[in-house]
Amino acid sequence: MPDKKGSIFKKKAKEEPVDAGNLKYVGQSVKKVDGLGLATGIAGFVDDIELPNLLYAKILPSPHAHAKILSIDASKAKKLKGVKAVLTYKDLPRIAHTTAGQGYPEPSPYDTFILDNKVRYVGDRVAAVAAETEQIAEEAIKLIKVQYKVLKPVLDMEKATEKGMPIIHDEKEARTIIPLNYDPKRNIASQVKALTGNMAEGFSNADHTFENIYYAHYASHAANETHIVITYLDGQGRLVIRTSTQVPFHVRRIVAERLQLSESRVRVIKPRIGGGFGGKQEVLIEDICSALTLKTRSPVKLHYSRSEEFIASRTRHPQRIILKTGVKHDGTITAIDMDVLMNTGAYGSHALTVACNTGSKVLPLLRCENVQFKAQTVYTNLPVGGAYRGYGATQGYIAMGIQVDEMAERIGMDVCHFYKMNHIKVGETSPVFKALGEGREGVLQTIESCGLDQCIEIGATAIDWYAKKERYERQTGQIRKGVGMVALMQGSSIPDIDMGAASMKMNEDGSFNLLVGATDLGTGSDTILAQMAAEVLDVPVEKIIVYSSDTDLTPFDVGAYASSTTYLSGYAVIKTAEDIRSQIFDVAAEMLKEKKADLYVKDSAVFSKKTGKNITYQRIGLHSLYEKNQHQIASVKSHITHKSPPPFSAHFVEIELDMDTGKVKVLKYVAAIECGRAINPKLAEGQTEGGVLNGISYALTEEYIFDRQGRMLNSGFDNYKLFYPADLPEIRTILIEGYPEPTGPYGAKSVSEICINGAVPAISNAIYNAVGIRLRKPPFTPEVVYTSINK
Amino acid sequence: MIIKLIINNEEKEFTIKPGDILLDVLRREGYKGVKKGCGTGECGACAVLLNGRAVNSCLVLAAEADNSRIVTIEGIGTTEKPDPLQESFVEAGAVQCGYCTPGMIISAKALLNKKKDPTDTEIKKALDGNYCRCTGYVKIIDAVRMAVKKMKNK
Amino acid sequence: MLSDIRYYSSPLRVSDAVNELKKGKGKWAVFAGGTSAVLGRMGNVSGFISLKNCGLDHITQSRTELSIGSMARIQDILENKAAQKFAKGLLYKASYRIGSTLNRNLITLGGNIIQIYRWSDLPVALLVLDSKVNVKGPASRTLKFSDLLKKHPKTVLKYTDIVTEVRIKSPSGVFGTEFITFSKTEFDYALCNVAVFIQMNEKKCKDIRIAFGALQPLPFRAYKLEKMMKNKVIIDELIREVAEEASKSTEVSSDFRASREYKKHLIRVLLERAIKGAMKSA
Repeated sequence: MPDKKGSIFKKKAKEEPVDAGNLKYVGQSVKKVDGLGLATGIAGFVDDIELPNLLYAKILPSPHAHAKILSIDASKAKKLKGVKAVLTYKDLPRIAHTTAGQGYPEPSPYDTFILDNKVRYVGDRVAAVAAETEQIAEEAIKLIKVQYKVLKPVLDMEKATEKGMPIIHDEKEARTIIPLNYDPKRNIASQVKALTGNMAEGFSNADHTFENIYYAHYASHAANETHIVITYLDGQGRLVIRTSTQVPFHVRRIVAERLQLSESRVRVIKPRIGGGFGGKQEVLIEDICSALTLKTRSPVKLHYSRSEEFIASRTRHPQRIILKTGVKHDGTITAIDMDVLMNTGAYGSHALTVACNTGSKVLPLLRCENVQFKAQTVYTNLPVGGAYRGYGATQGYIAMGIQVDEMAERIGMDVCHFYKMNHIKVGETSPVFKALGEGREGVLQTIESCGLDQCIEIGATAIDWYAKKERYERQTGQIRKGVGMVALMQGSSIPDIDMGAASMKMNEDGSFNLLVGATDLGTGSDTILAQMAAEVLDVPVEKIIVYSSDTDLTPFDVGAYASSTTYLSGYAVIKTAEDIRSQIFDVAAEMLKEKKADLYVKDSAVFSKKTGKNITYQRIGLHSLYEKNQHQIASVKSHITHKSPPPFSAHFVEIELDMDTGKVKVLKYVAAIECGRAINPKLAEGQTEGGVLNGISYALTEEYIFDRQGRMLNSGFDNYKLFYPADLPEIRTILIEGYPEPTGPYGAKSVSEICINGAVPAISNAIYNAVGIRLRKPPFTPEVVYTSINK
Repeated sequence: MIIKLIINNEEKEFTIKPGDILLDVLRREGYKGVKKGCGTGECGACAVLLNGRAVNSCLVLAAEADNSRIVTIEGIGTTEKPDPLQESFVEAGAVQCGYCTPGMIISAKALLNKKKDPTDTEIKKALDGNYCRCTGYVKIIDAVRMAVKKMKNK
Repeated sequence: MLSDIRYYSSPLRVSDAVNELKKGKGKWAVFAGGTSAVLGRMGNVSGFISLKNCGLDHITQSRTELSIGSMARIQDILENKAAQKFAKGLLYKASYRIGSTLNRNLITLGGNIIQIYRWSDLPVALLVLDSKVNVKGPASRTLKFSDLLKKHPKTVLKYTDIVTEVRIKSPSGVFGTEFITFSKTEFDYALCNVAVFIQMNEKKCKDIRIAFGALQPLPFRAYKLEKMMKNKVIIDELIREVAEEASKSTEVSSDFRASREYKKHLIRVLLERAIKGAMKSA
């Protein structure tokens, strides 16, 4: 059902057809606006300022996975010279909240306290210290005496709801603020069910049925900059939070609420951010640091160590997925039944929504009338899950991407053909869109752009799919090769929930300040938003001075998540720039004595279609501010969306497998992606390459290893194995152009998340091609692969 | 104790403690382009040139650096006069969040000071301790190649 | 900051450094490349005596031996022409995967063998080369490298001892070498590493030295395996037998990086490959 508001662009497009040939700045790989500042080391991150009398905060972590705090004595720590404040649960208001940086009302359960009298995982916060130096803070932490009553921990998600298991959230405050199926007494953080069609009928129509269990494992976002926040009081005694966040406006709202301040007393500044990947869509350390500033009236810095980042920030939610499907001989899918068990760890951050997305971003890809989705998220006494690039879809595609390969193989159809036959097409909808939303019903939408067929064809050619697939099926010898593929979709923003806004003003030199709440965390959104504004106004990108984000200065934006910035905030920028253009026409019409309707912009100037008379932006800017009818040309516009058009992608991988050691090496990876029109192709490629490599190391080497007490054993880059340049395989990104999204800004859809979802299934399928073994539980470390082959 | 350093061609004198780490001293003295990513020598964000060698400054005792020549990212080039490597990183799309970029450029600089025309394997090996989550390294390797070309044409 | 460190000096001569260490009464430690020191892995020390001004960073080759100063950086060994080629590239291979470039520019040969870790690569290679270690201290002496590793080098040496140089006899005759290290990624600790030095007389193995690392707290020579091969005509069957025996007889335990069974399997695979590789290079 086409909606009205979402099709603004479409209508405009009819009047002024925008094709790639007419675009000057959009679609160009312009240099990142913050690039040179970053490359010369002068761009400021959170930690790159000096504040007088700065105090250093440290957190006392829990040594136990599950324990009650019987007593806590901070007197010795408080007496240590240089210690300015020690906070325990006794010093803070007990306000249940969620750390998930989501819009209000959050669908995540309110089950967290700034500090609590109970600890729920190893690394959970027990107390906080602010001291004159980092060393003193560290010493002080050790002086806090805590008596625990150690409780039995829940360390296996598959047993979390069994009778007799300890209840992790037995506190009375634990609740959800919207009606959801929350059941903490059974360690259940969320439950969701959706059904379309008739499952029994679907399965009875199938010639083949498939049922297998798939797993997704813990992973760290591993942003190069760990979580960091500096808090201080401004000249009016307001709390200023300078933080590495993806969600500055949510930080303002949520911290204000937790510390019982009004939002007007809080300002959040997001400077340059050293990567987020979802990990910073979390209001995690801002509250405790703010509490220390409010207590000491001094600036306080809290900077997570790498080990804290692994253990005490957020992770990818592990899942167990039981996937059952029915398929006819001809390849028609008759039924899909997906049953998800998700581990949210000690707190339910994103517990419902990540699980929902495992269904909503995966199931609509394949045409099928009979679809059932069930998800249950459970608490355990392990590190906490959160938003992580891919957001549930990564987990879901492990199951779906491998099982589709199984289906195609069984019916004797090439898997590329199988996808082409079964994937959702333009003009079609999926009942799943409506059935599964984010904490409420979803939004029905029809696909208006889809280049997946071309992704599959071009990707297959790039990897030489058909010849290799067949050749690799029958190999002997110690080194074997294999190819595997998977098709993917994601979404672009959360429909009817997310809002983005931009404001803009014109300066006397014909430049423009563009203020956005949208949060560039390294993704390049400042740049692509500037490109869109430049396109509307026909000025060089350098004339758009972008600033993001500061809750005192920039308009609201939900923040950088859910693949929303380009699609959603981009549209807000276009609307704003169009309004600015209209105001420029007003002034120009007066100056040129022409009719507004006859004017158009070109090369930083306004021209009359009729007379050819023209005037530069510089003249207009100067005139509007100083000469006559003085006023500020400025505008603020917002945008919401009723759609979340999916980008599509096909990933192909070629691997080499050492039969003797089980080591899998990726030789070549091809990601063909259709993201509508890429506003900045180079940045879109960069998003893809980064996501792909993250996906590859997630598939092969990244994992959390725990001991029997729930302690993480590998919380450092030494033993948590990420890929470095020397591990880099050949990665080829192919942007498939020619499928502009009618509802997207200049035809754009999202690009940042989809790319991380392909590696695990594609590599698993390639391993199958190489040795005939199906691996359904990543990571595929040498030992896992070797053991599986020799079972 | 007092140490003397030549940082970015400027003579400097700092009062330090024997247990101070070079990374902390450099940041304290205003060289904020030197980043802290792990503090254990495993990410390369804090890389500087120490007597011409690229090293993790988080693993260098400040006292040990006494009388050394140090180049930080601030000494490689500026926004007005960027080094070809810095230009290339921007042009190639090798900068995303930019947190690893100073260290990457330092490692690449050390390589190009020694080798005018490195192979891809040599580039990857020279950057083997520089971690980046954003880019997948593809465009970082491109950028080094691009800088090689730029420097040849100069 | 290392808050326990209250003293630092960088004497100009080794003898001065020895005197400083005496003054420290065991509380001050030798500071070489410093990576372990800065990571706080030196135990309970309150001062550092740096060797940076004592020279000791040479790499020189004579007709009979290669001599490497203890302050030579691992990256120097990688880049030095003589060291690269020495023993058919064995030192090069064993240095190639130590840490990363940014750390190899700091880590010294001396530090790498004294502050030895379970996964250390280079000591494994040094074990199969006829290496000796020069030690200066109250009693200066030359130690066989294998003797230095009989216990942890830090307990073999006194706190006043300073390793100044490693000397490796140039191998002669028809010989081959191989070094293999196995890990999950390129910048990773070895799960198992193995070095092989083999001297051939026609088809017969005249002499062979095999060493393993990463399996036990210290690397070790596998004398029993060497005996199985000495003076034998080397055929695939024998190599397999030796590899099998290695896997069976080597004591290893499970840890979070890998299981005992998998490590035992790796021993078999890597040793077989290393012997074959060494023979190929002969």
